[in-house]
Amino acid sequence: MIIQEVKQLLRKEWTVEWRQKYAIQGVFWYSLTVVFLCYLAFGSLKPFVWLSLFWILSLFTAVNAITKSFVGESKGGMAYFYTLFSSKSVLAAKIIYHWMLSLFLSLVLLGFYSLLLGSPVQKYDLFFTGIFLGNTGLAVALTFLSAISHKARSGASVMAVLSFPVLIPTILLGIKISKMGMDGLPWSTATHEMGQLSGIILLTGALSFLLFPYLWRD
Amino acid sequence: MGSKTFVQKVVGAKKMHLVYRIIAVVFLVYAFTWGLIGPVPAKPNLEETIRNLYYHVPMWFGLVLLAFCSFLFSVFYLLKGESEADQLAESFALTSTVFGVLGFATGMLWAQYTWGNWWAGDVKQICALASILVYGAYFVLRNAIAEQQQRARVAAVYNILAFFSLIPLLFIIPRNAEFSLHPGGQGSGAVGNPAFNKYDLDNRMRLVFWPAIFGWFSLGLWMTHQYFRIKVLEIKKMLS
Repeated sequence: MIIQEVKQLLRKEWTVEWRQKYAIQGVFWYSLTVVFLCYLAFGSLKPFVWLSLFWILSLFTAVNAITKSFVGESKGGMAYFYTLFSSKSVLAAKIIYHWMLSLFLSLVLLGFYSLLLGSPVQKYDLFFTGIFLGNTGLAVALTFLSAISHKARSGASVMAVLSFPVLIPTILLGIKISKMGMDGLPWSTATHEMGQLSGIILLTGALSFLLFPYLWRD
Repeated sequence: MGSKTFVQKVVGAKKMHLVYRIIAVVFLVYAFTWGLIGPVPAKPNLEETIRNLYYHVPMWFGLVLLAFCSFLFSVFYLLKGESEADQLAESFALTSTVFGVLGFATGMLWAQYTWGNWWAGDVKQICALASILVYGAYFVLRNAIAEQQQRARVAAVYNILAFFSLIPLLFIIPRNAEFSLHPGGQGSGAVGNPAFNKYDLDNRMRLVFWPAIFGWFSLGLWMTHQYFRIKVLEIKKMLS
């Protein structure tokens, strides 16, 4: 039942996204432009700066892409969904959609970034695991935070104020794991951090599902 | 008056207020006087600044305990919908933030005399700043929503998230940092758990340290109560 609902909602997200192409195009060109700007500003980068800058760019890309998620939903539209779907499936669909979106965007970003600024990564599997986990964390937390800031109806600045401090642990652990991949360290060195990051993701996810009904109800 | 709500009963418990007020006054007077004149172990580099332990560490205890109270009342608000619970949660969050800022300030002062810099880039300084930012965002969020009930509910939801984001910031990241100047970190010579019993405490200092913690926490409760009363009066004035 829930899986069916989530599928329908995902199709709806995709249709809406595809109908107003400007949003996803905007984020795409945004990442290209910002990478180009970094290339012009920095020229070449030391490995650790390369990594940190990449994470900061992907944080901003993700925040940009996800902020608008609930803004698109009008009050009437929300009430309409409320009668059709359970709040859990709405949230699940949003999270899954944003998760795929932010992974896709950070891969696009990584492509441009490596093309223009080179790539010091030595061990891609561990590096990608870091990016994968980090982006999962970003998608889960940002989906919930965008629902909160949507209720505040005050646009992007509240979203940034709310999300950046909450995301610090996720970003730090993501940087740590992908840095081990960049330095070509063995997997066993990163298991501790991977466990912690997964714990944070599960905790944020569980909290979102527990608390989302309270935001939803008007 | 009719029947009182749970929060009104908690706030109206006169005996409880008397208890923490007495604890706050007696313990803090003791901690201030005996903390300054009492004996302390002579540690190199720390010297007399070790007395800052009586003021700096209780701030962090206070921050965590008050944030926990705030979290509890937010949960209570979501479950029962008593608007006083929301005001109490806000008051607790405010005192918790005040304690956080004071802990940060006393920490910087200490850092200046022992590490030689106001901002040493220590992992705990970073996480402390991040947790102050988290609660700063809570007040921004509250002010961004005009409608009372909506504000209370959204703020309660964020407050719960905020409390859970304190856990990695204060308890996980500092523990697996490679280097920390704080006691328990590798920079201080000892490795491992940054828990407070690894501090350079001896029994003479414990006699001041624990009363100071209870004293400061009680003062936090007192401040919260006063702020809550101001809030209630403001709302009354607005409605009349």
